Amino acid sequence: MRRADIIVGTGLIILSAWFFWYASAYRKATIYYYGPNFFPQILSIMMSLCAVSLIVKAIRGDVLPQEDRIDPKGFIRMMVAIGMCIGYLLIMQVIGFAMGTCVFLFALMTFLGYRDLIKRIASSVVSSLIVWAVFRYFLIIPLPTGIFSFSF
Amino acid sequence: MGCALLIPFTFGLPPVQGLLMLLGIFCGGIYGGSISGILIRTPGTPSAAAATLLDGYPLSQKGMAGKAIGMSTIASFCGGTTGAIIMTFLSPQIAKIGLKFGPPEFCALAVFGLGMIITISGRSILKGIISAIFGLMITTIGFDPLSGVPRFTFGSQNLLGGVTFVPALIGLFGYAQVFRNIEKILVLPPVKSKVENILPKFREIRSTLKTIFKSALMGTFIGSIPGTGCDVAAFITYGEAKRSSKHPEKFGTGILEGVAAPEAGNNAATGGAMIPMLTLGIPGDAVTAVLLGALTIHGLQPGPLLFRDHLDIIYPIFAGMIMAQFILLIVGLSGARVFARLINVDRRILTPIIFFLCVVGSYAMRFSFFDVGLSLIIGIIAYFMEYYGYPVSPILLALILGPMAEQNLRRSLIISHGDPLIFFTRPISTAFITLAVIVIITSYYRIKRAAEREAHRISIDRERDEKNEETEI
Amino acid sequence: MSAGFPAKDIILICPWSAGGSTDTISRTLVKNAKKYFGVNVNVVNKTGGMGAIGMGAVATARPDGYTVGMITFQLSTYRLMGLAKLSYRDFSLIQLVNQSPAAISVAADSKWKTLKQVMDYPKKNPGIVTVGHSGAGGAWHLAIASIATQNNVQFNYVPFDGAAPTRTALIGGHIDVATTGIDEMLQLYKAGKVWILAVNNLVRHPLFPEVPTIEEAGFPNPHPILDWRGLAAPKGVPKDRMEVLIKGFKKCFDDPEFRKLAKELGLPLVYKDPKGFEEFLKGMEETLEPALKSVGLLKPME
Repeated sequence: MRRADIIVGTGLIILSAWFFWYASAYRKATIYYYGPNFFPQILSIMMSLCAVSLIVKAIRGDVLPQEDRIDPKGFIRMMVAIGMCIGYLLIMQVIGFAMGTCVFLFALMTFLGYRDLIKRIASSVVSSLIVWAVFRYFLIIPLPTGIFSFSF
Repeated sequence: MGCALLIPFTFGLPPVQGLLMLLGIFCGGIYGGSISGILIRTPGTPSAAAATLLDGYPLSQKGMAGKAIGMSTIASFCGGTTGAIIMTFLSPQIAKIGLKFGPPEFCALAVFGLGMIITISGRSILKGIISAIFGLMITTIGFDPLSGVPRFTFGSQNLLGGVTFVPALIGLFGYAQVFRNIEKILVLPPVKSKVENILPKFREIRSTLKTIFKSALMGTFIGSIPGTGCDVAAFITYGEAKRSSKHPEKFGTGILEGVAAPEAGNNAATGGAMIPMLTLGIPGDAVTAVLLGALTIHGLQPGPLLFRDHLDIIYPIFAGMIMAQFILLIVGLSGARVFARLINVDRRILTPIIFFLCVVGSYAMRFSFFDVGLSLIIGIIAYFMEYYGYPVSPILLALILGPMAEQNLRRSLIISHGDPLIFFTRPISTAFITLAVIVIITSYYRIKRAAEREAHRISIDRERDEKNEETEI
Repeated sequence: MSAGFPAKDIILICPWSAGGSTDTISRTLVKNAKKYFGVNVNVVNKTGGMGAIGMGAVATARPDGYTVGMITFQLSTYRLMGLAKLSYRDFSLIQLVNQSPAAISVAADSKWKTLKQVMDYPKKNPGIVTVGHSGAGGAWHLAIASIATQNNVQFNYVPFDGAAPTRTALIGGHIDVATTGIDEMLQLYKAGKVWILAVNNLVRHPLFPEVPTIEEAGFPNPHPILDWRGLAAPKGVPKDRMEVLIKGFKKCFDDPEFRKLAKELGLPLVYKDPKGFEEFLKGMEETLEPALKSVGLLKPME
């Protein structure tokens, strides 16, 4: 955690310096004394103070004990799942909301290693249809229809 | 959000029925949001449940989901009823206090609210403050209504309105938890809700009664200030319960008081928020703003005259608010058993469905895929933050209070021509600033002392264990 | 082709959130749409980006006539303030629905009773009188700013985020003067909590017959800045379908139920056909340009 604190602290200092600089461009934007740059600049000063004390504390060894670690294999699994979600958002535009959702849920359940095929199909179909029907008929919310004329 | 989505539905109903339906959704939503907060760490209603899940989710991970829901139901009922009764009898008087709040007072109130960061920071207060400042920085994104200048939008129209609350909330809690679940799916042992101890015991309820009623009174008051609503009430009551507790270090690990306080507070605030809406036509928060619109759609103009000309509407509203509390008590207590079973569903089925609901939730607020993407990114950031000990709740608090703090700070300084004394020459603002300082200092020392005591106890235990081992040898 | 139009429900995009006044108008306008179109018109709130998201969605929607939208005052300012590349030129206009003038109000117990007193006071004490308005670059800010600039008066402007907090601050005594839409003051005015000094329009408001116009109050203003709302469709909708939309929405506009609600809300309804609407918007941009310049917000996008 010590190294992480130092890295994050440095990153935050850079972030707040950039924030300060970027906000200063707003100063001449208006006629008010306390213009749009006022608050962001206060924040970046406070942030950099916090970041410095984070680094100082880390160097002195005053850090939180690491309670939990990222499991590398699990991390890859998570990234794949995020990828699937992005794919889902894209495919939804083509094949429509309800069908895209079915495919996504089924695929993710399979990927996470659920065995029972019938339960997988049933739960993905049922949950996507319920949400779709509520949106379509009860709340009248526009959903991506995809290439089919009937918005399914 | 429920209210906004259901307005069209009530449109066809007669005014009283339509309004009562919205009121029911309002009260029920504030309460119901906590159920999903407790079970899957994703607040179901945007504003209210974010403080409840701080202790609610750990409780359900201990297998006490039913008890947490039961406690939340009872606290909501007490809070909601208190709020509704105060609203019924004291509306005009409280409305007068609300009018005393000008820009300096709102700024001081926001500072007081932000002082709660200390209590919701978890293991490291410094990291909590860093999270909060990060959140405040996020709130400066978008069009600045005070100067008419877009800030940090990089030319994107989607960012012109800033980072909206619902996608941020879903990202910070919903997505982050989904990612964590997927990462740990093989490692974590399955949680089993112990269905038999579904309701809190009488002894447990009695021990939280003081917290509940204190929170209810505070919640009603906070809700009745125009512009602050259930969300602020939940955080402030949680913070106060933790600060004044004998064992602040147990908050956040799953104790019933941590559920009772914010639930009583935010449900009381529903009644409070109705006060400025009905008496002055000024919405107390985003949801009452929707209710205000609903009243006008039904041809009624809220404001001072509503009480004189439309008692036929006002009385059903009062009665409806109180009725709603009883209904949620019945539904909540009888449903707790069913809800609690939900987390016994296999994670490999449940997680994808929650993932999907997060996508839908972030989309449905304004039918925007930009929001879905934004939510995902916030979720990824939140996921990493938790691993490195940065709590995410302060970000949320900052998102709620940031615009209020910034705008009123600048507004006050504009009024006073740049003289900061404006904050100290007005009684209410001075009172809040003093209160904020006292609360920040006392909660800092109380939490620190409790943590030291805890560390001391652990080290004594360890020594004793070591000694025992030695003697055994 | 128009014989088959509309064959399914029409979507009306409202760029502001549910419960707001634009939303209320949209929903009431299309309440009886089935009578006139044969299909329902469903209001969908697509909010964000100061209304630019919703209006942008209308401009880029499939031009088949099934998506129309509310456009509002902000559309006149996006391009001029450098917020978004969006203006009335990106739409096929359907009709103007309403125009609201600004009301200049003080609290009922204020020491000022006429606009003249308010305008004279800062001449001796510049920058002391605080004027609250509902957001920089908004209609009400620009309305009071252009009057002040024309008459060489210096106010201390206090921007709020919307009309409701402005009203609260006024009756709470935190600001001296407020500019809001006149309809937004209706309740407080009737209850005797505020005093309206003038309405920034060429004619008096039917619901406030005793409130003088800005000219009657002594400050002639031939081109008042008005808040407006109208209907528009994306560019490229077939002509015959546009005809159906224009005729249909005119009938919705004349619906007695809609008229009644607008009257209760104090919203002055003003109909203009597509041509008149376009002229009005053109004139509005010309009025706004100097007003924005006077408050330092003019940053036109090319």
